[in-house]
Order: sequence, then structure tokens, then C-alpha cells
Amino acid sequence: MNYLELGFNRDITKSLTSSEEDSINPELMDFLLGDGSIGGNKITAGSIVADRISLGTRGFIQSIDYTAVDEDTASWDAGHIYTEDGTDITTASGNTGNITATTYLYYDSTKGSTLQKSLTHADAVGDDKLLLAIITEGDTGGQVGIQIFSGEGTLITPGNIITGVLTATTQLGSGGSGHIKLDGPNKRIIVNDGSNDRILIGYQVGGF
Amino acid sequence: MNQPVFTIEDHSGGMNRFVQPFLLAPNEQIETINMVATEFGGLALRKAINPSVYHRINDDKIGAGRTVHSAELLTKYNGDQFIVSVLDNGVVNYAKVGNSISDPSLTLSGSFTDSCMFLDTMFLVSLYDTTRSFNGTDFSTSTNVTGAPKGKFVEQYKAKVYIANCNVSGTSYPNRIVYSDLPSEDTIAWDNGNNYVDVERDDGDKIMGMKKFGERLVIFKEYSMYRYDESSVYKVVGAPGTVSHRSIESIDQALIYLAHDGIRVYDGGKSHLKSRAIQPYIDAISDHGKYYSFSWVDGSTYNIFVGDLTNQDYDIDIKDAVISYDIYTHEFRTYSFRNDDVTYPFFDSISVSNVSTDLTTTSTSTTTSTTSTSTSTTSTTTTMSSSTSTSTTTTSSSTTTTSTSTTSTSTTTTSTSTTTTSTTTTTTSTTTSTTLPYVTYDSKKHFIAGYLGLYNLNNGYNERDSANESITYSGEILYPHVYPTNPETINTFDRANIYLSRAGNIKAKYRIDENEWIDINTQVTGKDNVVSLKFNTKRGRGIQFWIETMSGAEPPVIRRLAIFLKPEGQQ
Repeated sequence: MNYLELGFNRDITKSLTSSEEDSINPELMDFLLGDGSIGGNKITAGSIVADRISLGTRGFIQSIDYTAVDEDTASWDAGHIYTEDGTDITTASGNTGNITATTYLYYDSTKGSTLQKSLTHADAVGDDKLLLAIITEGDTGGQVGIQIFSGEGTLITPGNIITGVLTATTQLGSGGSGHIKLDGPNKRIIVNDGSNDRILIGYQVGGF
Repeated sequence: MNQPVFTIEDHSGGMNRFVQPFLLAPNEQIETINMVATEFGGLALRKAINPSVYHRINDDKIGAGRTVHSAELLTKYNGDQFIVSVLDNGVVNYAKVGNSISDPSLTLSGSFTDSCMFLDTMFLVSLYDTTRSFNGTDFSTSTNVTGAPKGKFVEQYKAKVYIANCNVSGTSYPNRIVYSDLPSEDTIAWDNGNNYVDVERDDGDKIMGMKKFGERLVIFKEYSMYRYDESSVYKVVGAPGTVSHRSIESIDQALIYLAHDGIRVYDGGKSHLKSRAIQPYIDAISDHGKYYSFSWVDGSTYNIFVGDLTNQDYDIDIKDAVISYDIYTHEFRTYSFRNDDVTYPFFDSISVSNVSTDLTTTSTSTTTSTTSTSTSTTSTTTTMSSSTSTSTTTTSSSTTTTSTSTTSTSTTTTSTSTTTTSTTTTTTSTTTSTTLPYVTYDSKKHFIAGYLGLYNLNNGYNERDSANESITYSGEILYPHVYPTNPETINTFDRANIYLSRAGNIKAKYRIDENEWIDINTQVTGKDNVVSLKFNTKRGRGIQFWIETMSGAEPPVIRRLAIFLKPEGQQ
């Protein structure tokens, strides 16, 4: 009996038995021994969970309060970003300063809690980044527009309202019922002084 | 009743020092030195290196005694081949195969460490000298290499030139590969700031070589290896890199190379250790032998020069050793260049595939007169076939070299030899009639570079010229200890027959049950192709043979060993 008859080859190594070969995950071997890639059809549906993917591709929700300061400045309070894998990211307060063009506000995990801003949209996306808001310049004397992603309180500048959009009952201003109510379906505008309706344009049954 | 006979007819298993003797395959040997399988199953003495001046680049032109540190080969579209050599003093010379040496008056700080072919040009790199391109005439620092980094390794891959282990503007990047732009009208440009890839930089390792392999560029570090596809670098899992870029060869559908742990084969997916059978020989390679190892491929056989092999634990002592591995039969052999009339060190090898059948050679003759006795020897001129050659005239401080122009139209051979003894007291020195030797080539195409020049491998004994015929070297076969019946049976060993391909001289020793070696005969001569050996000590369980065959005209192939014995019974 020599070593060849014992099942060893001329390299003096032994081939795996069929059962041993079966125990090896072929997809994993393809991945390891191939070019580091694996076909999508090799991935079990639903098997890639949130903590296996990069931050930039995870779903999230934010609880950051934004304020339109004036026509070229937005500010925000300290807040949180919650990603779908359960991560709680604390963010710091800040402001844009005077913007000169549409500004992209984003979180970058490599830069810490301070939110980042950029005039280049490509800067705001990436594996380590979450786009939080897009801030647009307002008219002189007006306020910036703030489009918030996965959060509350989007602020729209007049320039971003397209003709015909305000077709339903819309309330402008703060307070429980708003200061100006544009009521398209009933063909009227009502101005409120904070306590009572004072001006009616159009018709309302029973007046004020 | 016929006497039982135990035979060994197949020697194709090669060496095996890893498996314990009881488990060896019957066709394996413990050790062979200088033996090759010229026919399947048999073993014969290898042919020697030919140190003839006809087969080495002239060293007279640049000073005798110089060692060739590197040899690179340019093959042009029209079939012309050029050998570029760098000597140990940095002087570069080159020769068109079949023509005389040219001296480009170029001296390097070091030596070219690698070359590649692209755009009908050879790209030559060195970490200490400007990267150059060579078109068969000029060593340019501008044509296709303006702005190219210095580097240790160069390879052409997918119409770009890659330089690895770089020095860019004085900064070393041992893990960086800089690549050229794609050619534009057969011209390439370099952008070192943008066209580069770092291969796991700052990991304590460094790039040791590159080799194109199918659609990938394989990158060897010393302890890891990678493949590159023009966009990404992928690590080959579990694979060590190489110790010498000159050990990397492509055979069939695999790359074979020397790593710290042995000879490995990379098949595109995994790197397989192949040399486990000769692990004691791998362990016997010195660090110097590893880092300065170089290889060449002869058919399916990978040969690697590793310097001296010394391993006292296994009684291994082989000088100037080559390890040979056949990728198809998995057969390992060793050779020793120590007695080939050439002198270590060796540094590089090249394989010339073109051939010039028209050959004109002229050797030098020198006369030296001293206060005692002087001897003038040999002037030999050989003209073969139809050829025309013209040589140049040079003058040195103490010699005059004459010009010779030869045109011949028939095959003639003229040889003259004179010996003169003188007692004159003059102290003059004269060199007479010479043309520069030629780099030539016949069907034996492998050359190694080393002390005094390039030497033609496998062109020894029976093909050497008369002036260099007296080389003496031998081949050895150490068989495993065999038990012709079984280890439990005592035998009386009577005699052995060794069957040869032709009558020849061999030496043989034997020992029984691993006791002292016993010379059967100092030297025996085969008759009718069979050498018969009589045993003195006869009784034992097993027997082991050592056979040596000597150089000479056509040494025989050792084909069969037959042992005649009589079993006494189990004990």
C-alpha cells in the first residue's frame, strides 16, 4: 500500500470526498475564488438586512426641526436620525449661513454630528451619507424653501408653488386654523386676525 | 525453478523525500541528480552547459571576467531577436541573434530588472535608472517612456504597459503599479498622478512581480497575490506570493512560481503547493538562493536555479542546483551545474526561439611572452553554410585587432592549432587576429546568464567542440529501500542486473537493511547493454541501490533494475 493507493495524489494532498464537497457552500467558493462578485440570483430573497448594507442605502426617518430664517438662511435644531437597522444618530444644531444657490443638507457618518451642506448634489449622496433636506433661496424679504426628506414640516417658497396646485382647502400661516384660508372648492378667501375671521371674499353661508 | 526477481522498470515517479519509505510509490526515487527522462520510464544523464565562446556574449569587448547580471530578449515583428545584457559594472550591451555584439555606450547604476515587449519595442525597467525603450538600435529615454516611472517590474497587459514597485519623482511606492495610456498612433504616454493602482499599500509587503495570465494581470507580492482586471484588484485567497519574479513562468494553462514554502501552481482560481514531495530540498534553499532564483521552461518542464542546496538532516548537498518539475507527470528532479566548466554565480535565463542557420564564428588567439616560458595556442575559424559577415577594427593599448571581411558560398571548415614554447626574456604582450564572437543559436535554445557570459544549456558532451570536450560530471540515482518480498521476510540476495540503452560505464553501491553502503565495483562496463552486479553481503529483508552514470559520448539510459533473490522465510 503506497500513498497513492491511500487516496493521496502526487501533490501528496487528498481530494475532498463528495460529502465534504457538498458541505462547502458553492456560492461562497465562487465568491472567494472568483472575481469577488456573486450573481444576484444567488442571494436569497429578503436575506440582506439593513445592517448588512451601507448607511446610504438604508431607510431612515429624522426628527430635526428646521426653520426658514430669511430669504437666504435656514437653521435647524439638534435632533435625531433613526435608520432602519435601529441606529439612533444624534445631530447638532446649525444653520446654512447666507446661501447663494440651492443647497443640499446631508449627514455624513465620517464627519460626525455636524450636518454638512453643499451646492453640489453629488456631494450629498454616498455610502456614508443621508440626504436630509434641500434648501432653496426665497424672494427678497421672503423665506427660504426647505424640502425635508423623511421628516416633518416642509416649507415651500412661493416660487415653488405651481399654478393650479392649491385647488383644495389650504390654510396659510400658523395657528390652529391658519390666518389665510384659500378655499378653492367653495370659491372664497377668508382672512383671520388670530381670533376671528375678519375678511371674506366670496360667499359663506351665515357669513362669519 | 526460476529464481524470484524483483524489478524496477519505471522511473517516472521522480523524487519523493516527504513520504516515509514504506509508502513510496514503486516508480519513485529518494534522490536523483543530473538525470532526465529522455524516454518515458528511463533516466539518462542530462546534457551539460556549453561554455564555448560560440555560445556566450563576448566579454573581451567590455573586459574579461565580467558577470552578466541580466539578460532580456526582444523579438520584433520581422522575427529579428535581440539579447540585451547588463554586466556587473552596469555596462549594457546587446546583440542581434546571429550577429556580433553592439555596445551602446550605456552604463547603468544597477541592472535592468525586468522587460516586456510592446509596440515592437522592449521596455526595460530598473529602480535606479530611467526606464528605457529599446527598438533594436537605441536605448531611448523618451520614445514611449517620457514621464514613465522607474520601477522593478514591467508587463504589457491589454494594450498598456504596467510598471510595478515604482519610484515616482524620487518617492518609492513598493505597492504601486503605474500604467500607461492606451496607444495613440503607436505612441503611449504616461500620467503617473492619475494612472495608477495601489495594491494593499502599507501592509508591510511589496510587489515582487507581475505576469499576464489570460484576461487578468496577476500581481505577486512576497506573501500574497492578486489579480487585476483593469478596474479592481482581487486578492487570491490563501495564496502566498513569490520570492523572485524571475521564478514566474507560464506553462499550459497555469502560472508556476517559487514561494517561500515551495513551488506553486496558480490555475486562475487557487494556488497549489506542488513541491511537498521534495520539501527537504525546498527547506535547503538559502534566502539568497530564493531571492536570486530564476527559471526557464523546457517543454512541460519547469526548471529553477536556486543556488546551493544544503540540508544536513536529510544528507542533501547539491552545489549550483536546479530543481526541475514536470507539470504533467509531477516529476521532480535536481541538477547540479557545479562541474559544467562554468562558474557560479548565475543570475538570469532567456530562451531564444528564432534561429539563424547561417553561422560564422571566429575565436580569439592570444600570445603572451614573459621572462620565462610563453605559450601560443589555437586559432580556429569555422565557416558554415552560406553567409557574409563584416567585422570592425579596434585598437587597444596593448593589442591590435585586425579587420576581417569574409564571404563564403560553400560549407567549409578550417581549423588550425599551434603550440610554441619560447624562452625569450621579452615582456611584450600581443593579441592576434580576432573578430568579435557571435551570439549564436541552434536547436538548443535556453541560455543562462552568469560569470563570463551567457551559456547555452543542454548542449554538452557529445556536441561540444574539441577544445572543451573534457568536461566531467555525473548523474546519480538513489533508489528507495525496497523489500522485494515483504519486510517480514528474510531474503538471500544473489545479484542484480542493470539494463541500459547502450553499453556504458556506471558505478553502483548497495546496502542491505540500511546498513553500510558497499561498492559493487568501482566502475563497471556494460556488455550487451546489461551490467551484472554480484553481491558480497547477501542476507536481509530489504535492499537499496545507488547508481551513478558518468559523462562521455552519449551516456546510456538506465531502464531497468532487476534483483535476483531467494526468500528464506518470515521472521
